[in-house]
Amino acid sequence: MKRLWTALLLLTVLLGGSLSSAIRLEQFAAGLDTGLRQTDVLALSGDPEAIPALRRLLADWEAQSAWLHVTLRHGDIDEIRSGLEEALRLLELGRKEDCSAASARIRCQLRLLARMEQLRWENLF
Amino acid sequence: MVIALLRTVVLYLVIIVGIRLLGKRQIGELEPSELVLALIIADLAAVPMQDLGIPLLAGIVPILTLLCLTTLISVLNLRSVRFRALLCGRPSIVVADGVIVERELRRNRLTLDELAEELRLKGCADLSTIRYAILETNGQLSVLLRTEDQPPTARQLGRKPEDPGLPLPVIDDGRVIDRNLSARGLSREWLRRRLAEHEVRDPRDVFLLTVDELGGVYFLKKEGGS
Repeated sequence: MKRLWTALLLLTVLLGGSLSSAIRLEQFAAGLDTGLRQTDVLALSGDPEAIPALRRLLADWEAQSAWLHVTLRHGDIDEIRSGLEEALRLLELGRKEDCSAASARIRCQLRLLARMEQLRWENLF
Repeated sequence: MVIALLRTVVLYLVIIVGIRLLGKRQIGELEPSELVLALIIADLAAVPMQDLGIPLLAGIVPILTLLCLTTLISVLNLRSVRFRALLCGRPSIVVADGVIVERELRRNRLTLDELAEELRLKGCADLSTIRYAILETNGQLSVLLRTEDQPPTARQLGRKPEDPGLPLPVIDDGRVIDRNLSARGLSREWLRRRLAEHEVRDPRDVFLLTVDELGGVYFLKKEGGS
């Protein structure tokens, strides 16, 4: 019976851990998406606050990089990271429209990444 | 990650059902759940090992899930006869009283040639000597001969042969195993005398020397020894 309970407990821990990771990813992606939208509005209106705001988003991404690398495919993570750096550089160069396009691409990648990890039928099959 | 976990559960169950439907012949010596575990676990470990772009956790979570599921299934197997029959099937009697049970052969998709081959492997060429031949749930064939066709045992012959017990290696590839020597109540001096009987001075020239519980010695000198 001890083996049975240990296996059940471990399965529950694995299920709980992976579910909480999926929820955390969804919330993190949603927060980043909102931040990118706000930065986009600031950038297009010529507000100089846009650059530090985008730097903060990049720092937020970096702060979660260990967890993201442990749970997600490294290629997907690296793509978003390089997209954020590209958007920042475009903004620093004053290319607001290009930065907006890059930001839209990152938001799309984030949505897809978060959706891929959610507990849905289409993901299961 | 939760998708990887649930996919593992779904695939594990699908493959178990598939293996179960394939029948006993495909299984070999493993039970269906053990075979499925052996089939999947190696691949799961190899993918994150080779592809550095995939997190290690993507391999570890499904492997742990599989181990948990196998543990659950093995516990359920122990506790429920019905579950065990469902998962592993029941043994099939393919020969009864020297007569082949055709229905069971068809049900297990076993041809006559294959049955004859299995019986020959068991050293049984004459069907009339067989009381029962049973296809076990692990795919192996058990053959029970009629009483009159079974080789007589020492007890049936009214004899009491001495039981030499387990032979312990005292010299293994030139190395003296003192633990086994003392387990048999023997000394290095006894060993030296034994070696001298075989005209050997150094234990390193001996490949194998065993001593059974009756003191019987098996001696094998090393090839090319002095």
